[in-house]
Amino acid sequence: MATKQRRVGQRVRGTTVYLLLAVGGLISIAPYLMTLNAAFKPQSTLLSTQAWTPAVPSTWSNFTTLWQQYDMSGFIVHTTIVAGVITLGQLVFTTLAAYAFARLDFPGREPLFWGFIAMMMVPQIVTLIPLFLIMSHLQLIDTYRALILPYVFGTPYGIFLVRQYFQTIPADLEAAARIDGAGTWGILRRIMLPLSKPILATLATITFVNTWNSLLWPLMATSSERDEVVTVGVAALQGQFASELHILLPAAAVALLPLIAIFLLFQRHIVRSIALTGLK
Amino acid sequence: MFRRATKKTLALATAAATVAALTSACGGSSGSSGGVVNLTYMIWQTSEEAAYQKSIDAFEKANPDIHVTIDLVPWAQYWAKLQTSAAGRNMPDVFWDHLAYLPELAKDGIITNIASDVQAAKIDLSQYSPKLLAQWQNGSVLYGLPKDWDTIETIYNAKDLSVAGLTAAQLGGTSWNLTDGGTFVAALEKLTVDQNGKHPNQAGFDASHIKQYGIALEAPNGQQDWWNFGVQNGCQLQSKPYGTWTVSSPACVQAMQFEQDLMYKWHVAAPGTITNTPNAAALPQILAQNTAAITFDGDWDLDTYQSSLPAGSWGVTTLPSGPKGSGTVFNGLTDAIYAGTKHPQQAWKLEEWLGSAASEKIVTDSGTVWAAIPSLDSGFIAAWKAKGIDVSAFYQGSQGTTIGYPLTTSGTAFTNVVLKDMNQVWLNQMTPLNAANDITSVSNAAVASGD
Repeated sequence: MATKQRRVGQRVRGTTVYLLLAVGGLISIAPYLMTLNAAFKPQSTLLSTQAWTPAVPSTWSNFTTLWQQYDMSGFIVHTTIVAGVITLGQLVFTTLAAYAFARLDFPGREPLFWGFIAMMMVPQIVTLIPLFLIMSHLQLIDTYRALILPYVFGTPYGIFLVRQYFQTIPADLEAAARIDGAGTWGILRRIMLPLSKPILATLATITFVNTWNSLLWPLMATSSERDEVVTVGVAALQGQFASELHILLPAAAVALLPLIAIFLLFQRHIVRSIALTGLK
Repeated sequence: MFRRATKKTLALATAAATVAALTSACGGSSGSSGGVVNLTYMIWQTSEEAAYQKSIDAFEKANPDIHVTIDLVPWAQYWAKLQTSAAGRNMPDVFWDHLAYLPELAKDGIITNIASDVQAAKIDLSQYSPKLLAQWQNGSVLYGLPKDWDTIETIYNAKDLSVAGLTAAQLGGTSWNLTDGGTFVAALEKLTVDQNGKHPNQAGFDASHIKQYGIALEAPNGQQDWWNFGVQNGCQLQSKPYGTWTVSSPACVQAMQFEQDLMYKWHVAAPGTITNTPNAAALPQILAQNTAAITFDGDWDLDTYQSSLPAGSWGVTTLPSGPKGSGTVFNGLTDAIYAGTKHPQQAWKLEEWLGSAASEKIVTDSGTVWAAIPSLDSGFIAAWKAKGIDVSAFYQGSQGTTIGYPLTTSGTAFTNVVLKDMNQVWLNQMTPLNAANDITSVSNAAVASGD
C-alpha cells in the first residue's frame, strides 16, 4: 500500500517536472519558431496575421529579396572572416597567457593576473568611446582591423577559463617531461595542448558565437558595406518607425543558421563549459 | 641557451610584425585615393536608401572626383553612433539631422553653419518651405538645407468606415471638444465594436471586451498623438524657440486629457496596454490586424501600409479639428555637414546637390518623402496616385496651422520624461495634469542646468 502510494507520488512529481520543463522549453524556443514561421509569410499577410498563425500560403520570395536587394552573402562572409580570425587569435594568445599565469613563475604574476581578471568587471559600454578614439587615431575606423584588433589577443574571461583548466593538469606530468629534456615550449605543445582540447574547443565556440552576435562595436567601427557584419546588416533593416519586417525576419533566421550548426557540432563542449564555469 | 634566446626573439619579432601588419594604416572612412575624395553620408531610413542612392549616382556622375558611401544606421543606434563618432572626431562628412537633436549638435559645435556658403553659391532660400527653413535658422545661422518634411494625418481602414456608414471626407471633417467629445467621438463610437457587436453609445456595451477600437494612437513623444490635439486646442509646448517649457498650460493638459478620455471615458481608443511604446505593435500592424479602424500617422509609414494592407483597403484623410480649429505636427530634416570634415569643399558640394531641386525631384517623384521645395510636391502626390492612394491630406495639413518640434538643448531630458510619464497616463495610472507638471519641471530644470 505504502509503496503503491509512493509510486503514484513519484509519477505525479515526474509528470509535473516534465510538464514544467516542457513549458519552459516551449517559451524559450517559441520566438525562434515564430521568426522562422514569419520568414515564409508574404508581405501582405505578415502584419495582418498573428505571429503564431502558420505561414499558409508560404513563399520563398523574402529570402530571394534578401539575397538580391541586400548583400546577405557579403554580410556572412565578412562576419565569418572576423569571427574566424578572432577565434584563431584567441586560441593562440589565450593559451600562451593562460599557461604563463598557470605555470610560469615570474615577479608580479599574481597582481598582473588579478588586474587582468578585474577587467571582466568593466562593462563594454565604458570602453566604447576610448576604443573608438584609439582606432580613430590609428586611422583604422571602417577596416577589418578595427573589428579584429580589440579582441584577437584574448579576453580576461578566456584566459581565466583556460588558466583554471591548466591548473587541474598534474604538475608531475610537466616535471616528468622536463626530466626527459622538454623545454617550456615543448611542454606546452606536447603535454598541455593535447590534454586541453575540450577547454580549447569550448573557448573557440564561445569566442565564435560572441563575435558573431556582437553588434555595438561593429556598428560604431564600420560605416560601409565592404566590412559590414551580419548583425549590423540585420539591424539596419529596422527603421525609426517602419521596419522592413519581411526582410528582417528571414535575415535573422539565416543569421542564426551558422550558430545552430556550431551548436550541434560542439554541443558537448558548450554544456561542459557552462558546467565548468557557471558562465554562459 | 643560445637556441632558446633566438627562439624567444623570433617569437617576439613575429608578434611585433603581426601587430604592425594589423595596425599599419591604410586610410580611415573618409580618405582620398587616386585623386578621388571619399565622403560618407549617414542616413537612418532603410526605405529611403534606394531613392537617395539614385540621387547620389547622379551626383557622382557630375562629380567624378567625389565618391559617396551611404552609411545606413538604424534610428535606434543612429544618435549613439553619431555621438561616439563626434567624441572620436571622426564623424560622417554629411548626415541627416533632426530638430530633436539639432540644438545639442549646434551647441557642441560639431555641425557647420552653412550661411556663408549659401550666400556665396547664390542659393535661393525662398524656394524652400518658409516654415521649414525657419526651424533650421537661428538668427543669421543656418545648419543645413531642408531636404524633406512630414505631417501627421488620419489613416483609415476603408471597410470599417463603410460598415459604420462613414465616408473619408466625413471623418476628416469631424471636430472634437472637451464637453461631449463632438462629432469626432460620435464617429469613433460608430467604429468601435465589442464582441457582441454593440457600440459604446449603446446599452449593454461591454468595455472590457472590445473587438475593434475606433482609433489607436501611439507615439513615444507625442508627435503622432497629443501634440496634434494640442495644436488643435492652441497648446504651445514652449514659450518660444529655445525658451522654457509650457506643457503644463491648460491648453496642453486638456489635449492630453482628451486623449485619455478617448481611452477610458468614451472607450473608443485602444488603451496604453496595446499602444505604449516601445513594446507596442507598430501602427500599420495595428491597422492590418484590425485592432483599430483608424489611426494618426506620419507619411513616412505610407510604404508600410501599402505593403501590408490589400490594395484599396486603406486610405488617408485629414485630422479632425479641435476647439481652436485644425492643425497638425509639421517636421522636416536637413543634411548636416560635420564641422571637422577633412573635405569641407566636397561636403558642401554634396550638401548643395542634396538640397537642390534636381535631387529633391528624384527623391520626391519616387514617392519616398515630400520635398522641402513645395513646387515639387505634386510629384509626391502623383507617385502615390499611381499606387491608388490619395495622399493630398498631408499636403493640406502642411499648408494649415502647424506645430513643429520644440527647439531646445534639453531635448534628451524631455524625451525621457515624456515617454515615462505619458505611458502612465495612457495606462490611466497618472492624471494628465500631474504628468504635464512633471514633464514641465524636469525639462525646465534641464534647460536651466544647460544639459
